Amino acid sequence: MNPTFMIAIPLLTAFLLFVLPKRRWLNTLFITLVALFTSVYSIAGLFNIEKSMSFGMGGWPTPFGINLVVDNLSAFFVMVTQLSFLLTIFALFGWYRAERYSGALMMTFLAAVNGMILTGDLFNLFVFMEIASVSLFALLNLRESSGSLKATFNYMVLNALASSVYLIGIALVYRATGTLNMADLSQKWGVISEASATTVFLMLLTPLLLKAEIFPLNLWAPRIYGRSSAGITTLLAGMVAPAGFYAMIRLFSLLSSSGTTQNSLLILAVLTMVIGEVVALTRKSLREMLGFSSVAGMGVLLMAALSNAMEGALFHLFNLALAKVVMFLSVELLTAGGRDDLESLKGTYKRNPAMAFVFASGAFSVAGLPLFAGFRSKLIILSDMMKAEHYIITAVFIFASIVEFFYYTRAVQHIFSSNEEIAGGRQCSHPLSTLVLLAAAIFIIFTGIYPESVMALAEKAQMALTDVGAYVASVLGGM
Amino acid sequence: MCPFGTISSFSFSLLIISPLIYLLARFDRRWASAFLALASGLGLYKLATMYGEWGLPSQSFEIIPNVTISFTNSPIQWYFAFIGLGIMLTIFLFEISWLSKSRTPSAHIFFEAVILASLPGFFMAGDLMTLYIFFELMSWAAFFIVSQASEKSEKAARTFIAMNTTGAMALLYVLFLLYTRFSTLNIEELRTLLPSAGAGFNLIIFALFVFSGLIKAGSFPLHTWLRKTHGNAPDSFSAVLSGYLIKYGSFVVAVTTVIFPSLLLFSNAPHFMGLPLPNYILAVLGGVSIIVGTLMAIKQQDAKMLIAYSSVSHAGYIVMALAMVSSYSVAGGLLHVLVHALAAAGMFLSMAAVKYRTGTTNMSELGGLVDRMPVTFATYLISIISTAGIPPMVGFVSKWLIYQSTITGGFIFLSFAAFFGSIGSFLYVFRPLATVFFGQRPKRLENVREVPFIMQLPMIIISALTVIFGVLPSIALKPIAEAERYYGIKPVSFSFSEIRGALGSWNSVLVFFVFMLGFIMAAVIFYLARKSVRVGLLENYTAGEIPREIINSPELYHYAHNFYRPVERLYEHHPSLEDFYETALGENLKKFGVFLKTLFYNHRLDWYLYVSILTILFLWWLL
Amino acid sequence: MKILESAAVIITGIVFGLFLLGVQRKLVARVQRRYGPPIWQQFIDVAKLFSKSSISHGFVFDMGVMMALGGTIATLLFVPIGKLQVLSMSGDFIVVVYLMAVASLGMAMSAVNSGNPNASIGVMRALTQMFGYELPYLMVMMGMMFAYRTSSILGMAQVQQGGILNWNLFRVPIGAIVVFISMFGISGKKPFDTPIAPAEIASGPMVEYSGKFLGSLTLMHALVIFVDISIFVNVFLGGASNYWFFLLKVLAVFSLMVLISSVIPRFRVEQVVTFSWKWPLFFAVIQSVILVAMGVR
Repeated sequence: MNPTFMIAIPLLTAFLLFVLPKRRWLNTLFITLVALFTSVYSIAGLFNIEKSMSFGMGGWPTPFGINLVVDNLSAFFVMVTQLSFLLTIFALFGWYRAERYSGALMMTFLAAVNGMILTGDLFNLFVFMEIASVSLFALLNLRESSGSLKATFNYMVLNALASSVYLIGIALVYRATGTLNMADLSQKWGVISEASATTVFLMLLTPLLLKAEIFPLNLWAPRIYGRSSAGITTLLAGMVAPAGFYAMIRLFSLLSSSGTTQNSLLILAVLTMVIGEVVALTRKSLREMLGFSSVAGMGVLLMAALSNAMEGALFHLFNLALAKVVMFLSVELLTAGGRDDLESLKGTYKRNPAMAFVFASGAFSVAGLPLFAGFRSKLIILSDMMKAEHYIITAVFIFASIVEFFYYTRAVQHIFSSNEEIAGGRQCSHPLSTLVLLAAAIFIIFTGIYPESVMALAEKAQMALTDVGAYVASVLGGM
Repeated sequence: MCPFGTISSFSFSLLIISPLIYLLARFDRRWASAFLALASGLGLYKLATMYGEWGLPSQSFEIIPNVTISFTNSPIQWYFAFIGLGIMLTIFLFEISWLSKSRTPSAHIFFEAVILASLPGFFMAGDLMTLYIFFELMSWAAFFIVSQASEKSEKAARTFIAMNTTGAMALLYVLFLLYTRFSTLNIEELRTLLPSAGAGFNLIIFALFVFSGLIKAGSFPLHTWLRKTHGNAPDSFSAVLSGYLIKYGSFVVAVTTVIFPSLLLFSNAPHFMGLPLPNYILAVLGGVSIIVGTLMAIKQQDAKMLIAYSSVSHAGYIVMALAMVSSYSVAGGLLHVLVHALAAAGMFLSMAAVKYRTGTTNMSELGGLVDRMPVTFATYLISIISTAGIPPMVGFVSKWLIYQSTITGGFIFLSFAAFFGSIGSFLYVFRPLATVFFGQRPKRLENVREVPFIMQLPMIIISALTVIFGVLPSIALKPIAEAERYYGIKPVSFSFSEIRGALGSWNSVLVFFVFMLGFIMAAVIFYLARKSVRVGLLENYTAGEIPREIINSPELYHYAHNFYRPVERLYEHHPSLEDFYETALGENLKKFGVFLKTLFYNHRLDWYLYVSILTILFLWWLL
Repeated sequence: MKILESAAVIITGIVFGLFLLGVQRKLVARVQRRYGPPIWQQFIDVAKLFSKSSISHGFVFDMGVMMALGGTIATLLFVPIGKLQVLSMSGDFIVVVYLMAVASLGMAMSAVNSGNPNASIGVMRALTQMFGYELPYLMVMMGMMFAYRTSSILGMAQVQQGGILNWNLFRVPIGAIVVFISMFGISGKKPFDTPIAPAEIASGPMVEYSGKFLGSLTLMHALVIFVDISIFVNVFLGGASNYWFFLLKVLAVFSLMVLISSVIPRFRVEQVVTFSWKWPLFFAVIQSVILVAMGVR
């Protein structure tokens, strides 16, 4: 699989859409085609990887030029993000009135996120991060609602700050080692002294932590989830957060870090999880609740990754991303963009039973009910964490799971409440959206019962992560 | 042919076709209920044929390395599963007609199908993971059924799921503790491996299992969810909840005390009166549960909440009996599972029948229904005789066995608690009898009829079984003795009609016979005397006055409200554990969440910076 | 043989029971400085009651009374009366206590079925009172059963053979006193006659009974007293191998009870419970602790 297509084609389409007349059907057609293409390509590519491959860009020899790396790990993440994108596109199909530049913006966003994952160069990562963020800023406000501008503004400022820190970090790295290529850097990392290595490493991690919604850099996130239209926040939860997580764990494996760093990040992860869950419990708006839960979920992933449960974390990432995307989308369609506080949600299953079912399956997957996918991944995380003897953290995780289970069940209870009559009868969504989301929901249940295929992918990805030698060899050793 | 194919296939096939059952229920709810009744009957039959085939391995599916979903058969598991399927059968028969009054019959049937599927899966589990999975499935299904009854029940269901999930997660945690230590979750293997671990480890395992078991069983101090949940659930489902679902918790306690050899595991722990301290503390908790349940039941104004608290009391009996792990107490505890299943189902079904016809279970609003609903009355009467532990019903047998243990063990507090529960239960079981079935009948209930036959049938079955097992408890004691033998406990000794205990013996058939004899003698004396004149309910001694009001509204002349006020006054100002959990834990957690939100997520940019800096400083200080 | 013995026991119970009730009336009268009715007055009363017609409030009303009388007759057969030990081997103390509960349940059911709230209140008081006095009683018996390793009444009687000082009255004195107090409760004598409370609730459960019903219940009352005191005699006063000795002991205990109750006013209903659970329960527990810790002295 040639990763350049994953970036070039969306980018090209974006420019194309700028030029062509702004017709809704045109936009939709192009976006859908590209999304389908990238998804199929990524899945096909994923199943065909034997070893990691590096593709240099523009003819520059690595490690001087930029390269894209495809191995099981990056392919796994690319697949996750493509699927999220595809689901979003289909779900919003007849519902989201494409604003003037939404098509183009979505394409640049897709290209950028793919770039974030596939790149092998630190500065390139920065570039793609910025492109993704800027596209997102615009997309978040296409459908302006109360507070979305302010929330985006907060996000913008924090993002800029974090990126600046990152740039300084890059500068320091370049000064010390003379290279910005990740593989090359992993060879030369030892050059940096112990003390500054920690600082530089943390500086590099800062925007990634922000993207991956880890406390205390996630303070912007819940507001965005709560105020912006859920169709776009799915892109945030299902694409940006996993991409940030990918970059984080890639850097972790390539660059050695001290135990203190790992411990502090572990503490941050646990804090993210606990604070996220406890606050989510108190939220009355479903979108905010999902936002906090999403934040907490990222905390769980980081905690698992740092506690020797990487395979489980990757599997869980897949499940979480799928579930979150499905939930945000179904909430959007269920409430038709209107009020989403728990009280007004009562009995909405009558309005749109399919979406209610989809929401329920996503909710139960995250909550970890047996028969749903999230349960299997949680089990693996738990067993690996216990094996590593992290008893107390596991207990905290269990506490967070209890809280999570409770508020998700509460939300589903309200949706399926039969004790209220709601105004208006059935309001079914576009058949294509319903079909796609139902397929996703059924896939969640299917993975809950037969998780073997996804687990195998996660396992291969985890092995690719730890196999630093292969990564480096693919980049530096051959071209 | 592997006999387990049937249990796992029973569970899984029911799970798979449950959506179809939902559709069937939308089409015709009676057929759906009848279908499930048939399924339970089939399950019962299959289970009956498996009696005696203990310990056969079964097909298993692996979930995480070395952990599988597997099923096995042992006497105690067979016993629990058999009673469970029997109770479900009666409930489904009842619901064939009852569902016509339910607001969401199809969803109700759908979730009950899931519960039926979870039943054999849970009890016949060969390893703890299977146990956990079906436990969760059952709780989730029960949550949704309870939510459907009314506005109040939704809140009650949330309390239920919060506490239940806490228990389930504790179970999950201990599961993984065991898995990390022993690399297996198979119950039989763990049974042999556990003695090799240290006492400290075993104590933690014990405590967590007990925590999870007590929450589900509804025993003190984790019983607070029972009242609102059982009280507000759809009526026929209350029978399932109280009759059977809380036995899941008792089963977990049984696993901890009987199957995992707790006496052996704690043989080096300090002992009290011959019982290891962890077991004794558990027994004391059971005893307190008996006392608390009894006192709270006396206070209740609504019949269903009263029966819910009586379930707390009986859960206490079972926990106390199982914790003592002696020949008689285990037999008594296990038999009490049967006793309470029948009695709770009987009481709740009769209350469901009353509500079906009258629309309420508030005892002050009812009265004088004995003439109108005789079968319901008889079921209720037999169930309460059993609950109170009065011969010749089966309730007496289990109490007698439990007394053998508490008395010969010299356990003063436990005996006190057992007596307290028994005598106290006379009080609270009598109240619905007096206020709902006897007394004056309100004018609006004048034309109430008995429930349809298909609803009477399960009630009759339950009453008949209560009497039969009371007269011939040896039928029920056979699998129980088998279970005791299987786990190395001296089995209780009995013959066809005589039960031999440590302190003496008695003959159940003889007692029944003598009672009937006395009854006949009294009847003879009675009928030989002059015939009596039948008068109506309002023809009463009123000291010469005839208040005009009571002719129009007989309910004014009915003593029902605050029936036990003098007793209640004695403990009026007791601290409420329900409130404690709700405020101390629930509300405070929410307040903490709000505090965290205002602290961190208050959307002020500068604040974000402060928080970030503070966090970095905090981490730097910490590490 | 057994049938003859059973008949003998039942007849003894009825006759001696009614005789005791007559003795009660005589003694109370003497205490109150009157002559009182003749000792055989109760027999006349019962005969009169059975000859009169009565009213009934329904099937349960009838059945409950039969259950009450029948249950008590059944209970009687399990108690050893001197040498007459009909079924003492097949039932123990626990069985006896609960069989009596059946009888009370029967009476309670039928009383409440009359529809008269006075009856309901009376039954409520009776149950509350039962809650009160049964606990100390059972606690003492628990200690005794532990110490003697048996719950058979006959067994406990036989252990005490061989001299007056062997009587449990002297070996377990605190327990004997506590059980003695509880017996007031079981028999419904002052200060424990709150359920009947003629002046307050018009005789409570008895309010709607007439004719044969009242007659049956009088018989039941007589039997209950007889059974109750017989248990006490067997457990604490060494039983008796001689039939007449046994009846003598019963008479003695009963007379003592009557004399005490004739000078005491009745409890209020909540006082019943608080009284029973204060000192009697306290001493019962003390007694049990002593018995468990040290066995019988």
